[in-house]
Amino acid sequence: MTVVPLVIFAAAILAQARHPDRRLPIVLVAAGLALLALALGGGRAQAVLAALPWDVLIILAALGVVSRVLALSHVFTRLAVVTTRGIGASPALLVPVASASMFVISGLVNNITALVLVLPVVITILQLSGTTERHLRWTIGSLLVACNLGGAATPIGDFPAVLLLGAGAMEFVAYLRLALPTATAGLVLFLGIVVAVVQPARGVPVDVLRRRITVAVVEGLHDRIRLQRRLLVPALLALGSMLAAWTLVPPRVGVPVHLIAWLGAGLLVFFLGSRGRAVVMEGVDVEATLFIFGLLVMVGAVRETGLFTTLAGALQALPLPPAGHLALFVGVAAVSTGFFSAGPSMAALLEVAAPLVNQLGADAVYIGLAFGVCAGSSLFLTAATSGPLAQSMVERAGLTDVAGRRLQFSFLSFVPVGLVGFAIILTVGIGAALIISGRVGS
Amino acid sequence: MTPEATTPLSGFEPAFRTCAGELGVWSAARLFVNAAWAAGGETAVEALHDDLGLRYPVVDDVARRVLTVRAPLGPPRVDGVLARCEGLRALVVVGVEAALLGPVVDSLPPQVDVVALFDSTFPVDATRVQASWAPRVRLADLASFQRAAGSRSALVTPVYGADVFRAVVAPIWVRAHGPEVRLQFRRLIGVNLVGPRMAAYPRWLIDTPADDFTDLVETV
Repeated sequence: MTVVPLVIFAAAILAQARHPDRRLPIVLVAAGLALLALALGGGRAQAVLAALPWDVLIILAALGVVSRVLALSHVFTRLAVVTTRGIGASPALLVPVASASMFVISGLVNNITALVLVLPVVITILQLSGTTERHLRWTIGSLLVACNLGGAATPIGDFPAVLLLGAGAMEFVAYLRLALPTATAGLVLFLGIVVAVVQPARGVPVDVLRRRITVAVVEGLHDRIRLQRRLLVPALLALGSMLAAWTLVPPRVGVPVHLIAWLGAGLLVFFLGSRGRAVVMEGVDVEATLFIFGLLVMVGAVRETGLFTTLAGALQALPLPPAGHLALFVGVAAVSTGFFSAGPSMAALLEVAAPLVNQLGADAVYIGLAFGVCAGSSLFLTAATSGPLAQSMVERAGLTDVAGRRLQFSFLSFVPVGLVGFAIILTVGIGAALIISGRVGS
Repeated sequence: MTPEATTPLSGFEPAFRTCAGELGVWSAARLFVNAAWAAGGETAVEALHDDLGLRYPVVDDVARRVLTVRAPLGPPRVDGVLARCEGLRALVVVGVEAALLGPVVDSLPPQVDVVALFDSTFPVDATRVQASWAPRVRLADLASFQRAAGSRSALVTPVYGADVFRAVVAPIWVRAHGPEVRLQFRRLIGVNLVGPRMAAYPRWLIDTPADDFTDLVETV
């Protein structure tokens, strides 16, 4: 079997990491070339397309629609304003409260939507209540780490978890039961260290007058953004029904996960009437869907070369106890995600994971993989799409400290936050995987 | 824990520019000055005035008025504007002031098509603006607002001080207003939020002949 698809896959992964702004054409062209190489080399190119997990793309599109309707209902913006009032725009409370809110929101909607909804309010608070380089770094950085953790906490929070769910690797309830406590533990540990050891608000003027003005201005700025109950109620009903069906319908009934997502989103769009079409157009992230499609095609072509089986075999052949194999696998997932982003890592490593499942158990391997990818997403600002987006939003805001000096949130600013987040999530992820596999002692 | 204290108010400019872009410079000034008054009275307003007043004459004007009457600045009276909107089918707002547009939109019959053009002097978060005004207000730009023209349409713009000859307006007004536009709308309404011309040079704003307008409505 030709190794050309493998070379194309490796080149495409490197190129998309180097040029994230051109990742879609790179991956789509590379996917086509990989299939071509496979076909010319005598491989089964058609079998690759037939074996694609289309259900993953359906779930992503359906969740995108529900996320869009929730965003249009302004529920998260109103919650952010209420929270600002609740904490009195305190710079010290901003980090844990905003991060915890982000964790919850990104567990329900995709990470980009969560960030776009929460970050503008946080930036306004930072503009008004006063901040420092250190406070800015840890506030925005913690939000990004919480966003990644929230995405990993539920099966619908982000692409890696959706891939596990869609590919049938794990069932909804099993993932939620294992991932939610793990992610919560990671968040508590991370925020505990940030608040108690780092103390990001140290050095920020604690000024009651400034805080009152901040609350008044945040309320004034969002005064006309009102809760759209006509959108919120159907969106919550659709999401609630989907969650209930995923949780309660037993697998033996034979209703697949993606069908529940399809019907839930479809009914939601139907009940929105004339707005439904616009919601579908805006809600389905065409770029992300096509990017993942391209990745899955490439991974399928590489699978035909037998590489993933070889890699899994090599991993299992290492002179390590089973717990060592598991920890190493999760660590590799984390580092590769840090450099090549979550999509490519998850798509490829899911293939490597399959043979390990027999040895270590599905739940342990897949939960470990999900948190390895989550840790890697938090390592560098560029590891997940949400990082560069946050960076550009902060840049545009032109934040200054109270003395009027311009503040930056750059790749380097995020490094300390990323390292702390990476270490904690990786530790928690490996720990959870070992506990689940029952190999803590080994 | 650092004890709570009151430090000199400074560094508000980025936030003020954000508010000025989305709410309008007068509405943002009123929001900031009233918030300072509520939070710390005269001292806070003076501190805010020191931080922003020199660079933003509208803040200077609003702060002076609050300090003179020793009370927060109330919303503009919109009855004069509403009286001139009677019978209209479309209202094009050139340069948004939230404190003006909000009450006007809430009082107009739902069948009146309201179109708004935002001034681009200060940054505008399009998502938040859309969330604030749509669908009641349609957002438009200089290339498209004339589609709302007609014998039962009017243009309205905020005025930041006027005398018999000249009026101070947002730059978007000068770009939108021209000889052909004058003929396409029934009324061109200026809504004076400030009163007499401001003492300071109207930085960020622009002077225009007072006879640009068929109606100049006082709200103070």
